Amino acid sequence: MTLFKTLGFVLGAQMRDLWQAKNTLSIIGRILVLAIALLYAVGFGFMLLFADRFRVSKETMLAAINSAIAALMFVKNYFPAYQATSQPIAGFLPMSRPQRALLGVLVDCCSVFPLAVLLFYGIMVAVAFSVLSTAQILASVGFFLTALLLDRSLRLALEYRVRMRLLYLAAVLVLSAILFGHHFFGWTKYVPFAAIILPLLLLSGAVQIALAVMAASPQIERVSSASTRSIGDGSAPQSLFSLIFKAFFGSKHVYTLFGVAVLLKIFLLLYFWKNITRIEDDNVDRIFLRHILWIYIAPIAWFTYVLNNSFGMNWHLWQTYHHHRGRAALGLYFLYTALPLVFDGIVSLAVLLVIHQIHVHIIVKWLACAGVLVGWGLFVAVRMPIKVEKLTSSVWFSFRSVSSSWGMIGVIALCVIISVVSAWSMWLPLALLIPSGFCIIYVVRNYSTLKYRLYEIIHQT
Amino acid sequence: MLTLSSLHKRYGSKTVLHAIECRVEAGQCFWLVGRNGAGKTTLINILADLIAPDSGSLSFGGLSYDKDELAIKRNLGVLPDKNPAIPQLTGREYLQFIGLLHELPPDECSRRAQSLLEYFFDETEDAHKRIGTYSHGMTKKIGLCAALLHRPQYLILDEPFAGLDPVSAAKLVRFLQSYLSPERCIFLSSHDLGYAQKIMTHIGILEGGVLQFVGSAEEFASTKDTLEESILQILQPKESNIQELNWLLQ
Repeated sequence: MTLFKTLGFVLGAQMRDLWQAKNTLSIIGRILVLAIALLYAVGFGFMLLFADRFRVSKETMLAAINSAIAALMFVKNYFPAYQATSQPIAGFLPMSRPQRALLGVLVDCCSVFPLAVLLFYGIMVAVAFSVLSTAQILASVGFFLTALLLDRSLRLALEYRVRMRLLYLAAVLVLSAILFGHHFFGWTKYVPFAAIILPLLLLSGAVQIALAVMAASPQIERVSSASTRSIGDGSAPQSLFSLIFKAFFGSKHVYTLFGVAVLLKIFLLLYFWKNITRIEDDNVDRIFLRHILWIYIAPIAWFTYVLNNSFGMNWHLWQTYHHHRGRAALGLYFLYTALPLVFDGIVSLAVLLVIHQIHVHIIVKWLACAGVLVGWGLFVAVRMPIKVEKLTSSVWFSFRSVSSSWGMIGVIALCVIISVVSAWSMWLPLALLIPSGFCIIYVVRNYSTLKYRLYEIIHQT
Repeated sequence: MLTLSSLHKRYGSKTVLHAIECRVEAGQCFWLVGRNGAGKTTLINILADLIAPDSGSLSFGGLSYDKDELAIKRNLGVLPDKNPAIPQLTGREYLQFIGLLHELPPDECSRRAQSLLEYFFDETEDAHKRIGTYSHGMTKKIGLCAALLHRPQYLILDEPFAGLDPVSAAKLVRFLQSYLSPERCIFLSSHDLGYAQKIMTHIGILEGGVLQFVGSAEEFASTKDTLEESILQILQPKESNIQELNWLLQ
């Protein structure tokens, strides 16, 4: 009984927190998000209803929708900032370990995002009810629940030194690969959708229970957010660059997100390559390649955390450097911008080579996007920083946003603008480097004012 | 009442606690003191069941976490080093949440919360503000209220005076002196010699993961002139040559 009362209290507080808006703008923002989600749900419902007009089978469309929603959930928990699993009850409070483990799972599974997705499915199914079978509806919900459990398992395995950690990580990755890949590997031709999802759901549940129980045990230590690796005895002279590099990558948040970003990027590119090669001569596909695929090549994921959030994650490093070197802190920003962008360029190029999709227009868009993000990222990092303390305090309520809304809106606007202007000329997106340059000039010229404003923002939030 | 025997804890290759033996009887306040990194917080976390020892045993009035986890925790009040107060809740909501976990009747919980808030907070309106907006000292106070709400028999406090203003610290000292009774015991870790001295009945000095001294305040006081000198005598600080800082001092 205490378990359900506590769960009710937590979920109630979560709801109150969600609607505790700072100002009218944030209320309007949340209503807009709901309206867009509603629009998508109805839209997808109609797409399923008239799937034959799109020359796509209902099953393929449903699989794509399920995969997109599950991928969105994974992305939400890692970008723009890593969100740890909920452990709402401290170990010394009177609740048994299994109950504490279960409460953590229930709080994460009943938080606002999963409930909103279930509502989304409800609306979509209501619209397309006549063309969907009960098995398809249940399997779709099962797909999402499996992804939810796998995502939580992945985070638990990353956050805790559980026994057989590598084995659990491997199990989660294999189950995720089967979940996301089964339709596109053609398995559904031989085995019914539900017959694949149900065992996956059960296995994911078993992995999640094992990990959650271990994480609630005092025998299992939490992996510290700072790296415990030795970085030498400090007596040997080291360059400023190497010290900053170690401090930056010593943060668990940063190196975890780096790893996930690389995997996500490669996965998405391979996923689209699989679909592009299937209908290569189709006009629609060429448009898709030209206007959509580049977004997955673009260094957007890098922007969302490296340029925007990593400064928050390394707030002390950033501030210390800024206090001692003043305007030279801008150099630090460019250094950390250049490093991930170069790395992203190498990863992207390698994947494009593998899938035989090296086109000048994609490279031009990548360059334009990277160039604009440098300026926009600098502007956002100075004007709207996110600090690591805010990330950790948001652990309890996983829906709480830790990103800068304007930063994200800017990225979406950028994608749309690049896609639109490239319709006129392949080289036109490079013109966006001009406003990016203005952003840089603005920050450099107003740095002395902005740094005080930055300090104020950090200490107010 | 609270018995620790042969407790060992290692982090990787580093031994943090080695053969910890001590007994805190009802009516006693045990003050744990030591250098930074000596293992005090690790020991407190083991007492609070936040981490498990590698070996050794721990019992609360004959009960152990292995068999009687809930029975112990219903009688345990903890203020840990990292206070798990939930920033999105108001102070009063947080106490309501803790009351729910301890299965306190709502009216009783509300009455207790009110009196605790009135005692520890100068402005009771602060209880209606979100914990995320609290100062370090206020967060500490709400953590104290949460640790005391269910009238615990065992009170475990990690640095309770850190961050408190002198008025609040004096109030806490007065409270803890009154709270000690023949049915209760307090396990306290603190660097504030002045405040801890006023409450403690027993002292344990932790150095290099080993309890170098365990005894009553009277036994300890008889070893040297002042408390500080006695502690330094046991801790044996490394001789630091201030001449090495001439580059800075000149």
